[in-house]
Amino acid sequence: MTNEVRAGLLSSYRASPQRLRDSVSGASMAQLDGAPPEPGWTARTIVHHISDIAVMGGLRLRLMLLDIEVELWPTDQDAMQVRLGNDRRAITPALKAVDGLVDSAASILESLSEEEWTQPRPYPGNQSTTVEQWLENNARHIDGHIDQIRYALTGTC
Amino acid sequence: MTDRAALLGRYREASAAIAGVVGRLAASELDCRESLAEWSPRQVVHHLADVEVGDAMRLRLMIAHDGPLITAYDEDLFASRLHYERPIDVSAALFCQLRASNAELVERLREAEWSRHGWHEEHERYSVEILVDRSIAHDAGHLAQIERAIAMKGRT
Repeated sequence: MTNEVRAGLLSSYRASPQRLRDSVSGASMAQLDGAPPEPGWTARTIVHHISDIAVMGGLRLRLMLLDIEVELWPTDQDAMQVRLGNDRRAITPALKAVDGLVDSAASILESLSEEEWTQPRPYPGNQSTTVEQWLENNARHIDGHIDQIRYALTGTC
Repeated sequence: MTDRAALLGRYREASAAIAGVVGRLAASELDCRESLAEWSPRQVVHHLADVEVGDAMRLRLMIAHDGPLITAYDEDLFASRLHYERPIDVSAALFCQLRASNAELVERLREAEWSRHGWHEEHERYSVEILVDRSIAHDAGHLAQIERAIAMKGRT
């Protein structure tokens, strides 16, 4: 990854909480909880999923920089949504949590040396990854779900 | 007020206490410390934010899973590898935003969910209630540490 690509990705990641806010801005309670045209999560549960995964991502980034490999999260995201009651929780605390988590992760990333960006890090399953890959994955995750929110609210991407 | 309501009140109110102390910190006080073995206010604020991220994960694991393993972390390794020389504003804000989210999650739990638990590497059985209780003590301990560092700075 070139420095230019990395900087663009980081800038886009930094701005993603605002895009998330914009995607749900003005949505009524009925819209937040309305079933999307195809089976899937509601806008409310997607916001909580983004927040929950931002928690995991924030911790994963920190553990990567410590070279610690730990399995963090279940594979059954639907069960997770149910157990956490994400279909009933207000979205404002989740949006604020995403603000803080993304801002903090970006702050850590901006303090890294070139070596820290690209050094192979342990990842569960005897795999390895890099901080660059973490950034790509986490930026993509938020934006992918923002598209899903728009679809849930309007039926179009 | 029930014990649980009082506990949750203190858990939520920690944000205001941390924000208040951080807001009063002068730039010259950020890197002072009570002794060489203690952390500076700057390091403490980053530590509190990092712990809150870990606790957010632990809460979600304990609520969503049956008896998950709760991993212990080496806080000194966090301090040495995560560039704790960074400005503190972002970490202070993260602590407050994430504490609000964690409090909102915990406040919604029914009585039976309040005792949901995992298995901590160092403390064995580790429940939502224990996490909240220890967080309150942890916050207070580190706030006192900041106050001691500032007082020491004032004496030198």
